[in-house]
Amino acid sequence: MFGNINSSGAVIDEIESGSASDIVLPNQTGRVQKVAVDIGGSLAKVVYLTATDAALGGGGRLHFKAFETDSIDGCIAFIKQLLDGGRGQDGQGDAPVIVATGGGAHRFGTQLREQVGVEVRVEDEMQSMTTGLSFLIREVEDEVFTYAQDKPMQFVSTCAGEDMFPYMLVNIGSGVSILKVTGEGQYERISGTSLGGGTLWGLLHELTGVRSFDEMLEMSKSGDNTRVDMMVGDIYGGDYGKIGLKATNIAATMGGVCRTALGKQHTAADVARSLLYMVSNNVGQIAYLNAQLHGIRRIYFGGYFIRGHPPTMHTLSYAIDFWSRGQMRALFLRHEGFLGATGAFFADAAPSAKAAASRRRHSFTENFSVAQEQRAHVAALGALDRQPAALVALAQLVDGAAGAYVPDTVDLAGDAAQRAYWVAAMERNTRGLLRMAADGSLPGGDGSRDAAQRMQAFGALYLRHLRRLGEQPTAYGPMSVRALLGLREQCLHEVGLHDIFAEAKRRETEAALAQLPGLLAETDAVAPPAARLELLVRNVLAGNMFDWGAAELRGAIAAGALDFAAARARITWPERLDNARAFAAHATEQPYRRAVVFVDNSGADVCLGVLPFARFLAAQGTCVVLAANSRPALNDVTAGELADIVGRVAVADAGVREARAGGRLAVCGTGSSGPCLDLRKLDERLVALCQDADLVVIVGMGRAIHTNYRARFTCDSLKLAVFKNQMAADAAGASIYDALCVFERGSAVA
Amino acid sequence: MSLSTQEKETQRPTIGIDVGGTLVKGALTHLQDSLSYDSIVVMLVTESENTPNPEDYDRHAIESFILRWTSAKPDEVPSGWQAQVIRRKSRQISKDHVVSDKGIVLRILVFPTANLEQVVSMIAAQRPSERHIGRIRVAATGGGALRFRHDLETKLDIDMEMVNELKAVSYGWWSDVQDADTVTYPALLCNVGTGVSMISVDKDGGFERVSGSGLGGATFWGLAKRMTKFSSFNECILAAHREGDAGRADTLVGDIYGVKTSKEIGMPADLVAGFLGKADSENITDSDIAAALLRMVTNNLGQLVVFQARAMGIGSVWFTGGFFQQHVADVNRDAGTSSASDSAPVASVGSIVQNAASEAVNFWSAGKIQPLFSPDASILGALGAVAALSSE
Repeated sequence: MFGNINSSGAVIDEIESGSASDIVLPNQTGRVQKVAVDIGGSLAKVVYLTATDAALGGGGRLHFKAFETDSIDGCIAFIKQLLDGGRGQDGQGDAPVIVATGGGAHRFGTQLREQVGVEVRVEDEMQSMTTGLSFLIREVEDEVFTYAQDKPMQFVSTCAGEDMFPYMLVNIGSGVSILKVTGEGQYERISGTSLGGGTLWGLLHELTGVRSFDEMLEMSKSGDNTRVDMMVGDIYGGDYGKIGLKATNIAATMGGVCRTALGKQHTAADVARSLLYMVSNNVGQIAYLNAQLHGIRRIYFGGYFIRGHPPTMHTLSYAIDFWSRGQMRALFLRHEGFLGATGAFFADAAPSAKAAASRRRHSFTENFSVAQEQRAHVAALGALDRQPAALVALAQLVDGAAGAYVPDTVDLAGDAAQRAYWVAAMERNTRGLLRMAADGSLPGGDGSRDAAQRMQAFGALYLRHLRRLGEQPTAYGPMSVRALLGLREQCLHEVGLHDIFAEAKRRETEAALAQLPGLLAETDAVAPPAARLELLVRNVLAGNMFDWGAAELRGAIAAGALDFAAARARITWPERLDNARAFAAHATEQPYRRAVVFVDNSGADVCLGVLPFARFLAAQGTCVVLAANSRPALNDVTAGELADIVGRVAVADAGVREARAGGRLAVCGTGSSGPCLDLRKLDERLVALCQDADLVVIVGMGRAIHTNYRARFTCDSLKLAVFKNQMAADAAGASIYDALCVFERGSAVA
Repeated sequence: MSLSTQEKETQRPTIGIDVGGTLVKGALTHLQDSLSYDSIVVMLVTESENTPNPEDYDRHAIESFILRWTSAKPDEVPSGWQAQVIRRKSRQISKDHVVSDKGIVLRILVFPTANLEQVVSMIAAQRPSERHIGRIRVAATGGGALRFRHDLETKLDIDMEMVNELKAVSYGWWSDVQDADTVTYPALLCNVGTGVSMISVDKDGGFERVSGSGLGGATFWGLAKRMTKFSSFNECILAAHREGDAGRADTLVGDIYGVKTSKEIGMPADLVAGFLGKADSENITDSDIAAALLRMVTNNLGQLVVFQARAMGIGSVWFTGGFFQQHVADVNRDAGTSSASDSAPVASVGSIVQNAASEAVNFWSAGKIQPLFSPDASILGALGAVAALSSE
């Protein structure tokens, strides 16, 4: 069941019909050697890692799954299946192990050991929780958020290293534990209460007969607590302004049922709502009191009790805000219920305090393509994909470490018009792809039944996510063009379509390489270096017109109707965005030491635009690092493909050959696999290579317009892109096919 | 209100009512010997010598009503009602102000707020006619007093003088304990009625609400009412005390870890991990649930109040409010203070609740904060309303 890369039709059907789960992912290998389980009083939470096939770039995926503790047998069977799958494959590697934590780790330890037949290692519960939380804060982007009814899910930048601490963790499970965490692995249980999730569950099960915790939360949504609670207004007939109580404040939970004169008619749902408020309010108050006593401002709420349930988060946030008079904020986590299990999983790999203080962060990305649990709450939970490489921020990024940098230019969650446009655009684009796949016009489509089925599965999957995002913009975290494009790539990978443009890229690259010698001869003929460089910069933009991602140009490209000269002729150059000449003058007068160029598309873009530009810089003595996606996305060139291209060009062209031989032309993977660019999350090897770079060049709409449009650098930077999309152009006050050629001096230079 | 100063002097309120969310507390105060109509507060200030003999005229209907019920035999008092007569020795108010050595008689009548309308009709019906001396002033407090003011004033022919509820409680408490040596200021009052208010009181009786909670007395009773067969608060508390085992309804550390492992990891197996976590168990009694609910509410109360005391840097906390009501009339009790530790071994409803709260405070403060109980915990609002109004 787990395991084998399963791409049969049945699996695809399952994805299509919406019952897809993590178990059929084609890009996973099945070997699971370690499973962490956190067995609480109410729920057992399982975390495990699957490795991604090295052929697909390596890395891995962290999975999350929860069971009711009452049906622990199901949980044990699940774990057994996971570990048996791992063993069954090759019988190699380390002996499988279960890392158990939580109260039930002791109680069910023997059962686990006997039924699964593997070693069970027990980890301390609170140690695990804090390890898990520190891990999530440090490694997972967009994990932490605040909540308010009118402002759901505001994501909070968390700081890696020392700045993360101290914090307080309020873990709401069956009971409530309050921990003060002062550093990696350093924590103290400072308080707690036994009035937690177990209490709510026990009371509501008895009072309403609900059968599951989720059912209970669902029920509370439609409830009205004012029908069972005694409100301040019920007592005073209005506000009690003198002591700051509003008529709508709760005077006493369940107090309304004491007084028949109030004539309160109520349903089980009202009771559920009331008791949910009672527990949340009370926990919030106790949390605040602890934070106040210990002088801590960051209060994280965790534990499976919350489950991304809006009324719970709202009440906790309200309580913290109310009691602290707005001085503290309640912080929530997308993976709130899995702190213990996550921490237990990484218990033996917990970084030392020294390592944690490093800049390394956000090595995991949440993947929603096949969400592990499609719950009706705010926080749909994705799996966490581990990047094959450690990701760190570009050293030249201004405020990269302090969290002020936001890669996305537009927050689609907060802009309904832009959101509607982009969701619709993605839908159109997807349907277009599906049509091309169906009629065989997608280059590289092998016409096989399998490929067609995968394409259909992709379409169903992605369109379903788009619909959901249209209704619930923050269901998957911050909403941006980057997120939408990233999700599309994730969906494609998820159904086993790892590189649908492979053939298109190959063809375009061949065509472009054939034109290269002519183009080089033409540009080399321009004698004044500054004029030559200016032309080369403009050619980068011309090359960038060749983009399958731009709906407006796809027809022309597919028809082969776009040649390089024609592309260049279509570009318009608004003066305020055209710094080509200034850059050329500056760069030729005082050549840069090292330039990092974030490249975009394959074909004409990289071969005819970027490569001649890089060749010129290298000839001037600048060391050029070409940074390309580590894994495929759209028709973007990958680092592997680019290295190959450079190698081929070097054979024929002395300039490129010499630059390469002299170490002045290198290719490096960014660590990314999306059409946009988050400069906080770059392969640490690239960042190390660019440590002394004094020029950052970013090419393409996805990397320089949808993202990084406002990014500032300590060194000089050049952003090169063409507005190939009407909405993006409108948003920037530009016209379609306007060139963006912005040269900025570095903040540390000027 | 168009009473002249003189009228006000002659019509000092002797009746205080506290209309809470759940209960109405009425207090009628007078001196024992003369049956003076001067209130307790009048006594604190001055003693009128020309008070008429009560036999000389008809009582006001509302006074008659209270007299009637508080004089009645316990089994004649309606279910859910409490009536008691407390005789207290007068005391020295300040070093240079010795007042009467006569006793004070307090007549206390408590009934559910839900019965208020019915009670008002009863009083209105027995209102004496011609010989009636006119409207009297009633010191009123409690959220419900505002709400029902119009009804009460018109139907009972009284003038209600409103006193801020928290002021009434703090003033009632303050005038009750101010001469006790054990009191230090600021004092922290934890008033538990329907809900919970925590009040800081300074040495002059000034007060501030510093915290509160919606998890209070009515939460206990509201849940108990829905989850058990008990029809009255008293019955519920007594059953919880006599036959209830909270550990059967609460999830204990032992339930999670197993008794053996609990020992191994050094946690008491009977420590509560989740209140009421096993409320849905099969072999559980209503008394068990009542005991667990009481433990949940008082434990939480204790935790909140200990935090508050620590934040204020003080070593004791006073519990007041209807939740700690005394049901056994301690006749001729000395005015002053009593803490749970020296309360009578008799398992009165009040002492059961008090003990539970004491345990919680001891638990959360590791014995460092002392829980204290005012003798008239449940009627401080009504008393304080009279006192506060008369002091103005």
